[in-house]
Amino acid sequence: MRVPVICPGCDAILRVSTLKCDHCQTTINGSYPMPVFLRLTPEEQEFVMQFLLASGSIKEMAAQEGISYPTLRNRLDDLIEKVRQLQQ
Amino acid sequence: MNTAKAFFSPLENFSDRVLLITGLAASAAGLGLSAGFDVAQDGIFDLHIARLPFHTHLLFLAGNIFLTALGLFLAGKVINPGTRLIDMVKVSMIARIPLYLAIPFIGNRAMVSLSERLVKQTTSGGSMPQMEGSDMAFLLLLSLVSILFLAGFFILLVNGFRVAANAKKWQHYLLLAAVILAAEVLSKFLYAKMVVLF
Repeated sequence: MRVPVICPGCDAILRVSTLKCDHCQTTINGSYPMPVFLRLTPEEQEFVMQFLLASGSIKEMAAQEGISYPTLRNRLDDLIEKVRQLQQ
Repeated sequence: MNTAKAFFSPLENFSDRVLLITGLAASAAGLGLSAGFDVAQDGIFDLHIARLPFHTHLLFLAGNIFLTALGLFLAGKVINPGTRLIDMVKVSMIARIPLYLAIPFIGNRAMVSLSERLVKQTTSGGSMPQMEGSDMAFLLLLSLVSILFLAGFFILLVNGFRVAANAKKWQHYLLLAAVILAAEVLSKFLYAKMVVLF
């Protein structure tokens, strides 16, 4: 199931408040920021995973997906820009 | 995949290998059409009826692809330092496909005969050339078809440049227009010299 990252009420970024161990039922309450990776869209997360699995080679990814190198490089550039903005 | 989108923005939707093979095959076909129909590609986006030796057609075509690619590459480098020359070469080769499709319309027997008749009338006497209604209709149709093919060339060029350089702002497209115009002027200048030399 997809982790919700945006508040459906006001569109603000959600924070993690409860973590639970399924094994011993320990519950930790707090206010943790959502990791940057989880704040990406599912498509962007999938892209990052594919990039990692292709050892960071856009050329290899492009060959696997049957699309051109600049198309993938543009996606990566746009993603880098978005991650930079999320980190600020 | 949206077929129309894929057709007008091939760089976004096809692999590098497919694009390169298509570009090379199209260039070979374009050269064959140029030589076969006696239509000179004597400018970045120029097509004129001219009987020239095969090697001149080859030089014009290679020059057009090289000058366009170089112009796009230089403009792309300004926008995005990661721009690659090979991508611009592919864009340059693929964008010319509509121009190659226009060659049979420009170099067909009816058009050549009409063109020769009009030139003869103009050069032989001082009066205005006589044109029949069918001639006018034919020229009008040819003009419309040529404009459509030219529009196809620019759509493929702009979309290819957008993807290859990751262009997003209107200033980027202004730079592209300036570069294409400069390449057109340079090509006309170089080819005029080239025809004298060869």
